[in-house]
Amino acid sequence: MPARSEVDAVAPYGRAPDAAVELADGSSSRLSRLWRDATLVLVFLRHFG
Amino acid sequence: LRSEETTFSEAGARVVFVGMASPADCREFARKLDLPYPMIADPQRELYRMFHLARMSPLQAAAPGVLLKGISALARGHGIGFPQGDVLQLPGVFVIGTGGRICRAFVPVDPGGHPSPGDILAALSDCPAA
Repeated sequence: MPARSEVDAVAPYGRAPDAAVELADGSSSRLSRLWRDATLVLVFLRHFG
Repeated sequence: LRSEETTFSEAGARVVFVGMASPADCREFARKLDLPYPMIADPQRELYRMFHLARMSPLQAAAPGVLLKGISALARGHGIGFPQGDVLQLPGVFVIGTGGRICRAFVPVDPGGHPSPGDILAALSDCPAA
């Protein structure tokens, strides 16, 4: 789960927040680990169902 | 996006989904849809807020155009059960370069306004590797 205190805002076309996140496999990461070696396409879904 | 895994990989991109659910529910969702991408579990929508993704108002959600798009999506078989998560939360797609810069942001004004895989692939060219 992202830590709310990390970054509160992201300016349009600015830097992405380097949030702590929890992956579905139960592991934790930071977003910067995901964009470190590849362009990251981050897809925010709508509700499930 | 599900069928474009190889294309995105060959383009040097890593696709990651974010869902408004627990890790277990995200795993179940990915299994049902056979998603080939990792998922971030964000049940409190904190990451959605960090990226300034808006919520619709109930009036917006009940607008005829939005309802029609929802019915159309269901008719195409996109519904997979009772809604789970905030039904008013809008989606979004962000293309982020290796330095952490947001190169492109696809932020729809209604739930049907998502970009095509081609739109996202084209955006990768705006986002050169560091």
